[in-house]
Amino acid sequence: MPDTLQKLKDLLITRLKLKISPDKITHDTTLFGKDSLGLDSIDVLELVVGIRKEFGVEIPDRQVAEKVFTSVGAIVGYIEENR
Amino acid sequence: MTGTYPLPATILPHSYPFVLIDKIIDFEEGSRIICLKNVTVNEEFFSGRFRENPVMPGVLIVEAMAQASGLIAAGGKQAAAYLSRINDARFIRPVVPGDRLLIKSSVIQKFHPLYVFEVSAYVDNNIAAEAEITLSMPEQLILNSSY
Repeated sequence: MPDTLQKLKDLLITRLKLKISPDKITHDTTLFGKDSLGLDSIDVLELVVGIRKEFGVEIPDRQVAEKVFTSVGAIVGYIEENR
Repeated sequence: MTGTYPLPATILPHSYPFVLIDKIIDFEEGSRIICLKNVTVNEEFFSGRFRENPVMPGVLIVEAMAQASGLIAAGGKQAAAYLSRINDARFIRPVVPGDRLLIKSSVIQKFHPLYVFEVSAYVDNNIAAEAEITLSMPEQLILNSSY
């Protein structure tokens, strides 16, 4: 799990070019809204592609994405369950 | 599916001098496309880039890639797609007058109206450029059905 979190942090920062320190990203960090990573819809698609390339895990459609992309911890959980 | 396809200029919403795809070679609906761009010395941009050493601008290669990809996203309808993001673009060899630029694009992810494509451009079976392109295709921009 810690390894998945670290890889996901790297993915978020490098692929989405987030200007944030990895230490600031935790399981509870949200992706949208106030005090979040501030992602937009194109970032989500980028992240879907990145998760598939990095972890070999598919997020097949928007409905699944909406459930998974609630927090960093939720993404880590989905990756762990589906890899 | 292989066969005869309509001219891209009749499907794309682009007009002269900005149609950068001459022919569809192969097309699999919703999935992949192979297109051809014949690069001739008469292209307007060659008069200024560069006068003594004509080279097709990389941004126009990306535009050709985007137009080919847009044909997939439009699903055979006449529609405008907007470039939303370009990742990992690499220009590996110069494209010059006389080259036949073969553009291969495939969808790697789609959440309508956003599509991500992996696109490569070849000259004589040698890779000339590659990029990951994201296009946005708002519903209201679909104009009419063509094929």
